[in-house]
Amino acid sequence: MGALSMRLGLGLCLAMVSHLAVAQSLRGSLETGTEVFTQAPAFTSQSDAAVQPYVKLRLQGAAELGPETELVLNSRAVATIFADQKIFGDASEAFLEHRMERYSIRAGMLDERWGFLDAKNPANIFNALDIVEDYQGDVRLGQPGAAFRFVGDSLGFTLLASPMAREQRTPDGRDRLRLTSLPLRNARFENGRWTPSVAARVNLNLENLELAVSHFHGTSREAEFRFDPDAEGPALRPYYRRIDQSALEAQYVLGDYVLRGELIRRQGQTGRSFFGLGVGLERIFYGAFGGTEDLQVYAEAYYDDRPNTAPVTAFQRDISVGGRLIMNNEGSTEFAARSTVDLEGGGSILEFGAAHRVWSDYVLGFNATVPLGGRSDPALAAYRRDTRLRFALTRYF
Amino acid sequence: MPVSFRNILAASACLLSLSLSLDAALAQGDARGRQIASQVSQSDAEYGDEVVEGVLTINGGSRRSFTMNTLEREPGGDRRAVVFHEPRDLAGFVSLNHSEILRPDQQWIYLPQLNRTRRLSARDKTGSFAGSEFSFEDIVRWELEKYDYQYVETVNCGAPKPCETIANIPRYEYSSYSKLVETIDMAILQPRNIKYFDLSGRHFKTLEFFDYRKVGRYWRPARTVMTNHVTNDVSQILWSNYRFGTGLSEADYNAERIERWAR
Repeated sequence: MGALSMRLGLGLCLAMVSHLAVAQSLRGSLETGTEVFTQAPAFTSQSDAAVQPYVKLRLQGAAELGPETELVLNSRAVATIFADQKIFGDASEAFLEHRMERYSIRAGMLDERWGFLDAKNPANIFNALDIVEDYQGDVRLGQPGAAFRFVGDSLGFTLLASPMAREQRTPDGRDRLRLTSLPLRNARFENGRWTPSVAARVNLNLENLELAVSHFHGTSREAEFRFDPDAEGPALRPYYRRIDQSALEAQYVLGDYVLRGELIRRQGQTGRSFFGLGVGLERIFYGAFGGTEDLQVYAEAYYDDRPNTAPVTAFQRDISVGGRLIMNNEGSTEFAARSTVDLEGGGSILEFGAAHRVWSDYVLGFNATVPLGGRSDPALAAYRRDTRLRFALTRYF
Repeated sequence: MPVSFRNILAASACLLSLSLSLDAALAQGDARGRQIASQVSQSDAEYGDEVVEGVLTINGGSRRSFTMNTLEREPGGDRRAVVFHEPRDLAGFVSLNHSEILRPDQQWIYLPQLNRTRRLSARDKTGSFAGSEFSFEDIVRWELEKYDYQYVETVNCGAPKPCETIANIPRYEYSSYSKLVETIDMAILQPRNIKYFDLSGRHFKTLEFFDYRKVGRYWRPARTVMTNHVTNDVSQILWSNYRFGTGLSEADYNAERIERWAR
């Protein structure tokens, strides 16, 4: 699937860039950076290089093909010699859209984002995860399909269909931040990869209250891992079941606070059906320290009663507390910090980040991820030696 | 000297009469202030939608370019989408605002690098717009019903007609201003400058308008300058390419479609 996603991503990118080169808007970024790991890896197969440079290219663009038709591209490619896949590319969006006053139809590679929460979105299910790029699930792979959307004044709905399932991108081989020491082999899809998935979402905006209900029927975007009897030596086989997931999302503005929640019920995964819940609140303090700086703070809690046989999630019974300080200065300096605590195992992940524009189109970035308590927390055991520092210089164009 | 009942009655009548005269004068001032504001409002009405390019510079250095897209709604509650183009790391960042008259606005932002839409609480509008001396409250379009008015004075400002100065008293409970004192060029019915007073009554910012040009039937400035008298910071916006009636619709301002502005 890695080779397929690579071909799919880069092929679509090249095709679309050639269109967009003569069209309206094309923007993107070229990021060069390095990841520094402060400890040797936990597993022998992982790359033991302490310093792992990388290059990342992002392209976003759109071209009007007619008064109501548009071509849209959003893609990325990453190169690093220390990863299992030395070069990876994906088009998270590469679609044609035809739109009318209140309706639109789009077809191609889609990136459908559902959910209101900040740290993790249980309701977000249409696209497969890219856990290599972001183990917390913020980065998704493009999903081939078609979408029909209606936008009313306060009520809207989306209908989605996808002809196939994509495998989630999971760290393997030389990758750091691996979930398990065992290699992953021979992914399987219940009813085959080319079984369609469908989804629908209705959203309602009542000024301060936003609600959405959705249902997904199709192949799970998250893998269950089983021992692979066909592999030479011990290995895990990613297995993707047919599932149904219903979700309720809510967002309410209460004074200076935004309250958010997501509730899901999933059926079809191994074991039994389960539900998951995430709730949170956010506030922005404008001019927090008497100047132009803004401070955003948020806290979110997650509960998920999935059985051990269901796909693993890093957010089963967790609390996440974070903040972002936006200096609003000439260099748009930002600082971010977040702590996610696993209430079951006692482990936690600390994250720090900073970014500053150094020249007109260059941004210098730093972030650090520090897993704590991994020895005693099974959910974080695989990451226990993966304290990571990342330094990057990004040129935006 | 003993105070007789007659003296008390006379003094009371005098005070009552003075109070009524003051009320009448104030009411007359309010009526005149509102009449001037209504004239300004009417001269800017029925534009349908307005699109304009802006280049913001802060203290002559840091530069941000954006497009401001406004949809007029009657009897108020305009829609506005601000789309950033520069610096390039902000390209595609969208701020979408559904203005309310007396209640907090509804506001969303779109983060293009994450392909995520975030709802924000917009009750507090004191936040800095793109790091400038403009706050979100300053960037939201002026609407007649958002303020009470007081006539202040008529001044000669070098224009064909004298300028009128009125005070805009925010009716919005959570406004960060006690008043905005605005001097209006009555020849074109547009402001020459606005002085912002904080909640303690201190004049701390001044917005000046320069180089008005007529676009269709509407007068628009080519340059606006906001000076913060406390920090001495200056933010300037150069405006260009004003367009009216471009065909924007209510559906374009739906939060579900916010990502389209980023393209």
